Amino acid sequence: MRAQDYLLAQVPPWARPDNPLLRYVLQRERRRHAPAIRLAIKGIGAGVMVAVLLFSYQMAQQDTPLGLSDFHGSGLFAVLYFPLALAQLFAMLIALLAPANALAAEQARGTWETLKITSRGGELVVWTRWAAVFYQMRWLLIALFVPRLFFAGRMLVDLTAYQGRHLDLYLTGITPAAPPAAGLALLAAGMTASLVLPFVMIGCNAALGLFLAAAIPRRQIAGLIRLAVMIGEWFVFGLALLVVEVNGRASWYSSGAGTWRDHLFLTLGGDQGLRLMDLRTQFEMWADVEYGVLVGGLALAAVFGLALLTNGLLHLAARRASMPGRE
Amino acid sequence: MKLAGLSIVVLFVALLVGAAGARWIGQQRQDAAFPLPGADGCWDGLCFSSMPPEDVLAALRASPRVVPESVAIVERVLPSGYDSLIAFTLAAPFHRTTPVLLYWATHSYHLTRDWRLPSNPALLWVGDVLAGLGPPDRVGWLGNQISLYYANRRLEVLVAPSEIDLVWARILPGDAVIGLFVVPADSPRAEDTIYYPPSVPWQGFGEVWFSNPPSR
Repeated sequence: MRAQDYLLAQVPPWARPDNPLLRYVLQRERRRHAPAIRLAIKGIGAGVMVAVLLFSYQMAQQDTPLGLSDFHGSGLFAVLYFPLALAQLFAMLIALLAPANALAAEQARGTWETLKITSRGGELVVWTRWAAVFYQMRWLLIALFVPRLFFAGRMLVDLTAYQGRHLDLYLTGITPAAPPAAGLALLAAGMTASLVLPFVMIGCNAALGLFLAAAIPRRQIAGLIRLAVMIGEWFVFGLALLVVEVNGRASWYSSGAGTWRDHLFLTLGGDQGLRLMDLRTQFEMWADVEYGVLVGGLALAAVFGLALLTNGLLHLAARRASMPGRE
Repeated sequence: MKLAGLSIVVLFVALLVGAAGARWIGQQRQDAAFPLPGADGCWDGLCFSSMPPEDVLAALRASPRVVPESVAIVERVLPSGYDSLIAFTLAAPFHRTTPVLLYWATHSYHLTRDWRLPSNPALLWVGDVLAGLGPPDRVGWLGNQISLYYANRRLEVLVAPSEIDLVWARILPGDAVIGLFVVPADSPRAEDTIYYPPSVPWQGFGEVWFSNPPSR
C-alpha cells in the first residue's frame, strides 16, 4: 500500500475526499456563489492581507513592529507577526460562520430532512460539514502553517547559538528552576502547541458554530448568538494583544513583563502561540516572567483540552441534528 | 480525534528530538568568534601585560587570527598611564571579521570595540562570554553600560544592555560586549574586592535591580 493510501486510511471515512457526502457538501458550497463572486471575495481578501503586510513592513522598518513592543527577535518575524495574527482571527471567524450557515441553508431549502434520511441521520452531516471546513480553508491554512513551520526551523537553528548553550543560559536563575532536560521538553511543548493551535482553534470554532445551529431551533436566535460569539472573540483578541503590551516596561520606577497568566491568555486568546515561535522572545519570557517557562507546556495541555471540547461539541451537535422534526 | 491526538504527540516527540539535536550540534562547536582572556591574563596567547610596548605590534601581526596589515597605531588621547591605542582586525574561520581597539598599561590591558566606526560592531555577545566562562561573580551598573565582574580571572566585561535605566537593567545573551578589561595582576583577591559602582550578585538573565525594586 502506498504511503499516501496508508495515511488516507487513518482518516475517518467521513473526512476522506472521496466520501460522497463530503463531495456533495463541498459542491453545494461552491455553487452557492457564482465563480466571479468567489474570485472577487478571494481577491479582496488577498488585497487586504497584502496591504496589512506592507503596512507591517513599514512599521517594522521604523523599529515599531505592529503588535510587538520591546521586541528583539528577527526582522522577518516582526513583519509577519501582525498579518498572521489577523489572518488567524479571520480564519477562526469564518470557521464559526460557514458550517452553521450551510446547515441553515439546507434547512431553508427544505433538503435537511432528506439529507438526514439518506445519510444515516443528521450525525454524518454534522461530522462531514465540520471536515468540509478544513477542505474549504485549505489554502488559508497552508498560508498560516508554512510561516510557522519556517519559524520552528529557525528556532532549532537559533538553539545552536552560544556554543549550544542558548537554552541553558536562559534557564539560569529563572522561577521555577528547571534543568536543561525539562527546558527542552517545555520548549518542544510550546513549539508543538504553536504549530497546531490554528487548526485546533478553527476546528473548535467550527464545532461551536455547528452546535449552535443544531441546538437552537430558531435560526435568528442562533444567528444572534453566533454574532455575539464573533464580537466576543474579536474583543478577546484585542484584549490579549494589549495585555502584554500594557504590562511592558514602563519607566525607571517600574518594570513588568506581565504574569504567566497574561502570556497564556495571549497565547490562547490572542495570537495562538505565534509569539512563542520566536526563540529569543520565548526565552525572554522565561527570564522576565515568573513561571513563564511553563507557558508552553500549559498551552499544549490547553490544546488537548480544546480538542476534547471540540469532540464533545460535535457529538452534541450530531445528536441534536439527528433528532426527528428538526425543521 | 485519536488520529489528531496521536499526530500531536508525534509532533511533540519530533520537536523534542530536534531541539536536543540542535543543542548537541551547537555544543560541538567549542570555538567562539572572539577569544576570551585566559585565567593567566593572556589573550589568544598574547600576554600584553608583560610584553614590552615595542613588541606588541609585531606580536599582533604574528597572531594567526589577526589580519597582519590591519594592525596600526591610532593617535588618540588616552587615559593617563596607558600606552598607545592600537587598531587591528580579528578574522576567525567561519566567523565575521571584528575590528578591535587595544590599549594597555603595566599589568592591565583593554580590548574594546572600534568606536570610530559608524556601525560600532560588538566584540562578541554576552551569551558567548557566559558559555565560555560561566556566570560572573557580580554585575555592576555604569550609567549606560553594565559590567560583568569575574574577580578570580581579574576580568571585567563591559556590556551594552538591551535596556538600562536609573536603578535597573535588562541583560540578555544577545547583548553586545563592547569591552574586555583585564585588570591589574596586583588587584585584591576576589573576596577582598570593593566594587564602587552599584553592583549585585549575578542572578541570571532578564531584569537586574541595583536597588530595591518597587512592590508590585
